[in-house]
Amino acid sequence: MNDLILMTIAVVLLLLGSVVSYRYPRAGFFSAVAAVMTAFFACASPEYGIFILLIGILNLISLDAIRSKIRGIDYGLVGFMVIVTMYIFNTAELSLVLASFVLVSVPTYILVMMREDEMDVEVGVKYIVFMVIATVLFLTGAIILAKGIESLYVLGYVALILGLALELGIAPLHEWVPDIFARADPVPLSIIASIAKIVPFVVAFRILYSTATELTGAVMVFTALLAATSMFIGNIGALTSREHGRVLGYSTVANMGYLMSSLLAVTEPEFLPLALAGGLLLLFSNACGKIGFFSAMKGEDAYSPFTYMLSFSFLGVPPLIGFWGKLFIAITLIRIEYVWLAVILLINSAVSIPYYLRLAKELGKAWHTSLTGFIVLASVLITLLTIAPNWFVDGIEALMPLILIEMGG
Amino acid sequence: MIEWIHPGLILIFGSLFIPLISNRRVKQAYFVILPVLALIDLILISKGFFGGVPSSHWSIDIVGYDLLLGRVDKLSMVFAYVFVIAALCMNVYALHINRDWEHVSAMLYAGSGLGVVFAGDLFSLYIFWEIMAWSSLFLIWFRGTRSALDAGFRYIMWHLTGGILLLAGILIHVQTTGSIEFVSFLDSWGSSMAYYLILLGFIINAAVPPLHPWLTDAYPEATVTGAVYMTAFTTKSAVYVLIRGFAGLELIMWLGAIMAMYGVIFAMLQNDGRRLLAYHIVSQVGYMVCGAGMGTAMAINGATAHAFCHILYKALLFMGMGAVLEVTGRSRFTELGGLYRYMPRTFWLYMIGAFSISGFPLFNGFVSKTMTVEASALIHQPIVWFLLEGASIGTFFCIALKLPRNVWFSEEKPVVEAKEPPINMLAGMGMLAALCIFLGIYPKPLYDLLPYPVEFVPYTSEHVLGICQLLFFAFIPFWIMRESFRGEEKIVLDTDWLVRIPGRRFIRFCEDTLIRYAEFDEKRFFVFPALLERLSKSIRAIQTGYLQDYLRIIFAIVIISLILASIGGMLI
Repeated sequence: MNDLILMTIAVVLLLLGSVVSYRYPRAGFFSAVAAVMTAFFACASPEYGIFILLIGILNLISLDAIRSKIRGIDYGLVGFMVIVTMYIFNTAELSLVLASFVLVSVPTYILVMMREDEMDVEVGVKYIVFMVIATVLFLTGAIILAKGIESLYVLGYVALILGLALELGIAPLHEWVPDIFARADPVPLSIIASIAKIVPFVVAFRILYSTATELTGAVMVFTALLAATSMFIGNIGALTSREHGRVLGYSTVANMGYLMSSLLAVTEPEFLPLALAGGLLLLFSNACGKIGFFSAMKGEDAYSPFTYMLSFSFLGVPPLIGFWGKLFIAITLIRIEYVWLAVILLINSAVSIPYYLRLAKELGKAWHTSLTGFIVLASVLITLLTIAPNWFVDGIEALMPLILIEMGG
Repeated sequence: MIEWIHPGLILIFGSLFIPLISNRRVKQAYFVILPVLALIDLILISKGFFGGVPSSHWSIDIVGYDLLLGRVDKLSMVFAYVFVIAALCMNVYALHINRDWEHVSAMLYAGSGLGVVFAGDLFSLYIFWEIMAWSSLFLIWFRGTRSALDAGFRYIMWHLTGGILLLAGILIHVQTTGSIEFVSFLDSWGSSMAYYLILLGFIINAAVPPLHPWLTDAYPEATVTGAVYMTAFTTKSAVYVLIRGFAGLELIMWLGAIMAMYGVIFAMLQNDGRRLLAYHIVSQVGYMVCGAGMGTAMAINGATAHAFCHILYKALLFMGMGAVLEVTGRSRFTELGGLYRYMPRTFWLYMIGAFSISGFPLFNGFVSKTMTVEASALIHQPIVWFLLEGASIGTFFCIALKLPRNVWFSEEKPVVEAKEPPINMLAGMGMLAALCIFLGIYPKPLYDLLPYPVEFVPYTSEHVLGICQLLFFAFIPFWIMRESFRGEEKIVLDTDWLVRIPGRRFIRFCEDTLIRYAEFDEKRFFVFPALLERLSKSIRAIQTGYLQDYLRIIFAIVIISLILASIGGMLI
């Protein structure tokens, strides 16, 4: 109950800040920071929550780099996404879990249109169309799975995975990602590519685990094939792309492929904590990298060693966070006897080396004390939080009793 | 009581405070104190303060696997000692450098090298292995030149690829055996793909030809001080893991013997002093790899002792050549000559390293190299013996004759103004030179550290006369043809021709194919929709062809998938 009160306080703070920001934009920022900090204390897992808090605050700070027409409200939107992401493990109600999926998605419809002193409606409409289709597919799949009708299980599973694939940008449903990433402003993209990716994954993970039947093992091959396709298309696409935004778009496609493969563990409760920890660490690595690189694109003064550190994290170089994410997923895949997918994951890590290094090289500059410099440094520091990852894995293990969703027939 | 202190972590965590110290003198003192603390730690470990040798410390459970950060035994201790001693001398040599982050990189690099030698399991080995790769990268990039940036790029590509191969091998090994313990793989060799991948990962770092171009490409491009650090840790930690994991594997004995000769042949063709020395790392590491492959007690002792001595004299040689580069800005033989007038001390310190690497009696190379060579004779491998002895001649030829003549003599008048390097550089060189001579005259402290009891006596008339004879025969032809051994302005293509010529064509082929695909992709999304756009613009300005195209694909995939799922669901 306490967590619900704290979450309510967080939302009220956010609403107040958003209203006041009409007159005092700075109030929007401070109220959003206060709201996400309040939500942190309500979060079911402090280990998970601390990452969300840090990534969320970085997202809020990065909004300062753009002269938005909705200044003040933008803090509210991002703050709301962060609060919902904090809340995702607190509830076992299917309706609330699905509502969270929608609530994280909707603010991005507005954020994606943000540009310097204007709103890019064209990009917004394109993005919204894809997200609406994704949401419809995902919710349809989730409801079919929740009903527990055996003859419709495969259909529900596939619909949910397709919805997730479209939402996250997993190939071959990835077409919107490089296009939007090349056209939209880097600041809102750094939010869409970071905090917005976490809830859809967690929701899918929880629903698939909660509804797993003996059919899941057979239909999971579909997920594995999508994951492998996404890794290859993402990485190969990025190799030949020249625009930084497009490269980062394809990088997202590849990373979401790695992430997708962690969903294969939902039938194996023994390996569930490792798979979930791996998936989340990969998402955090992706978030840090995207925030850092998009900020570097916007500010053009990111410090070169830091851009390389972000690339190393993406590549999975130890002891950075991306290494643990990939390692945990690879170990899970090997243990559940998807060795071929683990091998594809490693091959793709090798394929991605040139473009991540090129990105670091081209976006890295000399040191400047600036907002960009701070954001990139903070992103690097987050990648170092799991030099020894035990504390995080223990936290995720403690979270396991909360994973199951009540389907209610 | 503290259970144990990891010497590598003293350097790694200690280095993070370097940029925070504002006073230059304090910073310099702190930079020297770091390896001194690590050395004191090692002495305490040796003296049994933390439980004696062998012992195990710092076992950490991560996701059900026991990572062992502190496996202490004679093999790990001997490598740890030389890493720390070398780091101390190198830090003194680098004291005049103002770039804090270069110091941090160097200490991260040295610390992770220690992490590798104390790692008792494959996961922690891999972690420190990769930290070594990226921390050393900055030692190249801090040079700041275009060629250094490009060489660094190629360097890290090699190491990241090698790291992924190693990780793949480790994961398959863990899947097969269920164990992450880092022990000898000799009994399992050939039973699984894992061991080929692990060996491949190891020999990339050992710079075994044809997987060596990262070394000869990158080391000459590193900063003056950075190159000195790089001589010590990457290849020697690879030798350590080869001894630990593959001692007695005949394949690596042959690879090592060929490597010893290969490095020497290419070194003779070089015009750049540091590149010549880099090729000699390949050659010298060949002795160690070969020793690991022979696998007998004497060969392992020889490989270990040679790694110990090599780190000392190779660092000294790189320091000498680095000092020339520091004061003249030049390292090519065609741009140097006659510097003895300005830099006699540097010359003599360099020559101590040169005599050591050549295996002159009374220098440390003699007491280690002869052990490996003799081990090959004892197991009746005449071809290996011949390759190792032959490489000794080439080494003396290049390092003790060709390089010093081209840099310090060869011209009556110096071709460039020069002076002795800063005092700290000379001090660093002096410390290493003293160690080279001390261990050459009195090898007992080194022999006591070796993994097996040493029954080898270096100073027999047979060994001394044998080596003197060889070196004499190398000197005569050099002196007669000395004018022919001036450097030449040319590019020597090594196995990097694989990358540079057909590789370039292959890349072009791949790129062309990919670009054609990308063009098709772009046309599909931008040209065709552009036609549609013209038609639809008047109706709805916001509606572009791109969206329709995307939707068409997405709907097609979704509908086909759902139909298949429905059919599949009914069938199941």
